[in-house]
Amino acid sequence: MIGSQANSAYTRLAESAATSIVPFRGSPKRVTICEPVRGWRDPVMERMKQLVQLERGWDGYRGAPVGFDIAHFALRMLDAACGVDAPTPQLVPGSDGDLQIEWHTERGDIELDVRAPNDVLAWRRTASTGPDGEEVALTNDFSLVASWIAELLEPSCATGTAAA
Amino acid sequence: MPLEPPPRDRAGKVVPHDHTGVGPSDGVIRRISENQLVTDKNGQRRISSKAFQASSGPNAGMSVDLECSIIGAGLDVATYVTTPRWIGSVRFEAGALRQEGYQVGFDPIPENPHHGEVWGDFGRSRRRRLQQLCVWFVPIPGVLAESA
Repeated sequence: MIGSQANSAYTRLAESAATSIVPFRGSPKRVTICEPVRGWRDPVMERMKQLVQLERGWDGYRGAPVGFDIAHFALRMLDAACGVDAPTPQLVPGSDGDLQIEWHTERGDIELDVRAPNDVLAWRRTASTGPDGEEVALTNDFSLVASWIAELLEPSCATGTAAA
Repeated sequence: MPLEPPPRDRAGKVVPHDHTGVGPSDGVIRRISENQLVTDKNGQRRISSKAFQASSGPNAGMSVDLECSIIGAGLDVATYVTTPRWIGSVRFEAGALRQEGYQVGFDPIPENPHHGEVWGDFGRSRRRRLQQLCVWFVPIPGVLAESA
């Protein structure tokens, strides 16, 4: 019951974050503004709903479900950093109700450890970073993550040209 | 033989320690949930680095089950760590963890009298090192233990 209420509240908030409704009182003509279709968003929303409803102890110890505030923040962060064509990330819960967002592609690996709202450890490993990768602490500016994700989508030949 | 009670602070919380009753070749088992698996670039399922992380808060470490304690209670280890529904687990040797600078301690809790903690550095590179050190104990079919 509690999980269901949390889920409904989460869905309402997530949807309100994705859509803006502005009253229009001028011409009777209808003007609609459509959200761009982001292929990654529906699977991410579905996974988030599962993770906020995890049972306490889901990890075999004392693991907490993903916090509502963390899920909401993570979704807003993804909205800011991921374009329409971004690959769908994988979401892994942490024992403390935190969350890790991961991409593993031919072009590289990205892991965003969302420890709390505005507390993210961003890590990536590509051919240019070496095997240990690079890690940056982020708060509310995710332009770096957006550039990392954009690089995942670049054709392989672009890297060769840039390197040359 | 049961493990000696662990050291506690004034609030009654177990403090980080290296328990002398846990020998170097004793198993330290970490349960793995289906929720902690990811798929790599080749479509191979693996354990996420997020599965090897300490809890937050004072004295908090990474929760584990202590093999020697379970055996000492006359229980089957694989059955114990898979009951009631936990689908997989990996095993470290306590000595290998200590060589990496970790402490392996005993922290019995009401729902798990064989519960232990591993204390130390769980930064990202260290978590990947932990993944190299562990082997499947109760494997999840088709899933690799090491990081992507």
